[in-house]
Amino acid sequence: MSSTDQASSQAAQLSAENGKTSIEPVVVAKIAARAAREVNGVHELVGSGFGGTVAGFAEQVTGATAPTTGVNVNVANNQATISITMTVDYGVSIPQVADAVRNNIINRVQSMTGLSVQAVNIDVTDLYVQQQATQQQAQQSGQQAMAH
Amino acid sequence: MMDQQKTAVADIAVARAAAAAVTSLSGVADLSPGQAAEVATYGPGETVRGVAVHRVDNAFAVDVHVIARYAPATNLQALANRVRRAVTGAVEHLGAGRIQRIDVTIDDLRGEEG
Repeated sequence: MSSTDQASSQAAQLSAENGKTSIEPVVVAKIAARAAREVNGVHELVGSGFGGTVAGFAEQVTGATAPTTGVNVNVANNQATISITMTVDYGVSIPQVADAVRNNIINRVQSMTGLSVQAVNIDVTDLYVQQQATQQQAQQSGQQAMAH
Repeated sequence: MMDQQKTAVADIAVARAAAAAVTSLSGVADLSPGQAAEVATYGPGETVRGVAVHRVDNAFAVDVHVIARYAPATNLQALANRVRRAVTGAVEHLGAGRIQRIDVTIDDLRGEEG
């Protein structure tokens, strides 16, 4: 199984009056991925391991990121365990970003699917340093210093 | 004798009506052919994918697989209940018979970037 994404285990089943409602793990994975990307400081979700390397290379070539890259979801007894692999922007507080990601995922998944989230495991694999932007800022502040 | 006559509605007609009712819902992007096994109802020269019609004890049991449309306020449980009501309404409108259960599976989500 590729470790880059999504769907392990069976669909969550919740009882309704005249039939069952099932939600596939890939649906939970997509919701979690979006929730993580919404948080400031999260640079990108990344696949891990060899599959992730290949997928990452393919993404660099095609410019497209799969909607569930970097997300693993396990659902058992209507409880979801979610694992996220991500890179963060340099300079942010990683514990704060991780807490925000965890809270946003729990809120979104619970409100959208009705599943309860047992755990959100977060793996920060790299920092993203925006070199060009920092160089420009340094130049600008240098120019300002010259002008004064 | 009138009371011995009966009207039979084919499964494919029930599936077609259910599919039309479900796809007209705003939160449903499309029917899904199923993730693990194919979900479909077959008729002469026609296949309805995403809706499987079975008969259990002279009543209909319907499996519906949908791709939901992503929106932050979406509640998939509520969407599944709307799907269930839409199928119930469609089957009752046909006068096809009793419904035993309607199982709804959210197979996927579709947003702006898929």
